[in-house]
Amino acid sequence: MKGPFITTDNDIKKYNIYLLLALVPLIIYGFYKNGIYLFLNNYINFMQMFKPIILILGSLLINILIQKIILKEKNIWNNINLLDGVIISMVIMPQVNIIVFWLLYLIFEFLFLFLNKKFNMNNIAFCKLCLLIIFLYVMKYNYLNEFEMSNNYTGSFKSLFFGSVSGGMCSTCNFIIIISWIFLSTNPLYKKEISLFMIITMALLCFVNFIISPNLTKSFLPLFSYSTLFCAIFISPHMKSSPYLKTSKIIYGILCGVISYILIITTKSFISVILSISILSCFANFIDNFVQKLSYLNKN
Amino acid sequence: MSCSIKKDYNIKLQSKIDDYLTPDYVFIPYNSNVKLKVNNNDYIYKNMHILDYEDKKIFSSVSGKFVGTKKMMVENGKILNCLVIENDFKEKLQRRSGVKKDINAYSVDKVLEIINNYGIYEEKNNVSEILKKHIGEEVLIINTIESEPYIASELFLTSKYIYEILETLDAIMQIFHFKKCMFIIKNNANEIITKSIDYIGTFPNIDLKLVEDIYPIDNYAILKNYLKLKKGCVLKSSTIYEIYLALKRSLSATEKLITISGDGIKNPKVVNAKIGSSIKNIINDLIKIKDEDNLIFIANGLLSGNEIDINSLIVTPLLNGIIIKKKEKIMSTECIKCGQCYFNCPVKINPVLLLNNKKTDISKCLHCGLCSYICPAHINLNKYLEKSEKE
Repeated sequence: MKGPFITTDNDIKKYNIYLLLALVPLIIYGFYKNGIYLFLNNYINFMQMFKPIILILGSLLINILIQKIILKEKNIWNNINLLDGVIISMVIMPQVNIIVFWLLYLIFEFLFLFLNKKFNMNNIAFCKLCLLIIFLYVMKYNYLNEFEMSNNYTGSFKSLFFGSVSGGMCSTCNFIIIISWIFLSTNPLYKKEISLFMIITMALLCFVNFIISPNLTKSFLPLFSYSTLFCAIFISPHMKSSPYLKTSKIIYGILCGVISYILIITTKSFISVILSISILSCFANFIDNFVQKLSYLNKN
Repeated sequence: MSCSIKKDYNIKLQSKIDDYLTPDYVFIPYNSNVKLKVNNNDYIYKNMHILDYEDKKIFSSVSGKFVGTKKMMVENGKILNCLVIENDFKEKLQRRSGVKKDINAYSVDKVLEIINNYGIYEEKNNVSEILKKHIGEEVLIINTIESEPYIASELFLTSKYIYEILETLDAIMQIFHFKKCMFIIKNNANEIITKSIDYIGTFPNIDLKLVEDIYPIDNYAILKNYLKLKKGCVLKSSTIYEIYLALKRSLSATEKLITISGDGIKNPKVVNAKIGSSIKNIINDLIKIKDEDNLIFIANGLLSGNEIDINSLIVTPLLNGIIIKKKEKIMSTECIKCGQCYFNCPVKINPVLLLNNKKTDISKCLHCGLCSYICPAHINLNKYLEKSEKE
């Protein structure tokens, strides 16, 4: 039998641990913003304070059950989709009903398992897109928590950066998101080029907008709001549904940035970023094949 | 692209080389279509040319009686017919020849002829052909590296025969008009670095060059790339030592340094064994095994080596080491398209295409096993590469 008889320590389990560690500060911030702070100011009761944590842990449990029972995975840590539920629950609106969310998430996960046989789609983006469509357009939820609903509040550029604005459950603090990105980038499996080029592209487009109409907060809103940074860092580089060649990752990142920006500007919708990632993930293989063919032609 | 391989730093080779020079029998592999030059019960001298195997001249490593043939395993896992020589422990030579004082005085043709006569090969390449091809080139690169973890036979050989190697190098440079010589050592091999610095000063044309401990830097193309050299003749230090034996002492190499290491044994060490000895006897005599039931034996390294049957394996010139490892089940999952296999492949082969049943050119594959090692899903990509190669 031929080797290797040794394998790298840098495996899926380690990547999952890295991802979890990168998400923990955001979960803590989300727990503070949408739990502790609201409880201390008497907007919610003691039990409601734990809603963000219960939502996230429940989604993790659903994911584990799907893997154990349906997919018959022996080692859940070796599954690259282990934290998908956690990521989705972190970008969902704070007012969401936990039971409804879990039920819908379960349904869309099953739907995705069926669809994924035909399309190579980003399952986090797909599930999130479906959930957002239902929550935003059917159930008419918005992204405000109890405090934000009771107060007139306008976000400054600083508050956009440090997370004291309305947004997803745990995805508002862009400062922590950037720190998490730096941490995640130290893991060689993380496709940092995708998130980096998506952010750079959007930042450039925002800068062009800033030159045209010099309002810093308004110009950079597409980058620092709409959960753009969170989606760029935790959803667009999703392992199975994004390209793996270096050039493809750059192209994919740029395309995600451009399409997201155009959709945000034209529709002002919260589904813009996730929609662009969902669509582009279907073409990830195509981009890889295209780049592979180009490099083959260049060689010859 | 190359990468560093994880190591268990509890596995330490003892610094002393143990000898295993008195095997009862030695086994010399040959192709079944080769006509033997000896008959049963013929007396065979040490260093006697007994057969040609795959165009290589094979010499006996001991003196004794030819007692028949037996099927034994070689380092790549193949079972081959072997001549069996019963050792008489007399180390009798057919003719004794003195030690040549000044090997620098040889002509190019004479050196090439001697190298040819002694059948000196590197892997599958005739060394005389390699030297002939590179006459007058700028650099001669001497490789003392084995990048497979836990194997250090080449390093120990270089350390043991450092002066002989440097003396031969000096002569080769003069005879074949090489302008410069790079003596390549891993930057973490402290003992050999110190020893080389002590000796190398007397040879002004030979430079010591330290390289990182990355895999597979012992591959010549990768090494040249690392050194940013387009041209240059690369040879192993063990080859230089074989040339030394041939030029200086008119002998062929009859011994081989083999590393026996791994987490399955208590005393990892390098053994100087007679070529053709049974590995099982060496292990029984010199190695303390931890738990006999739960072990696998791997020839020539954890990444590119083969699992072998220790009972029939013999020492061959291409065997560098045996890793005795505790069995562990490697659980693989489906490909996650991280691209690490392609990114780290030294020759840029894309195994992801093979996984997806697409065709790709794998003619340049080094079979280094790096893609399988680096795969975070623990997929044995070697299997796919081998399957594609067969197709």
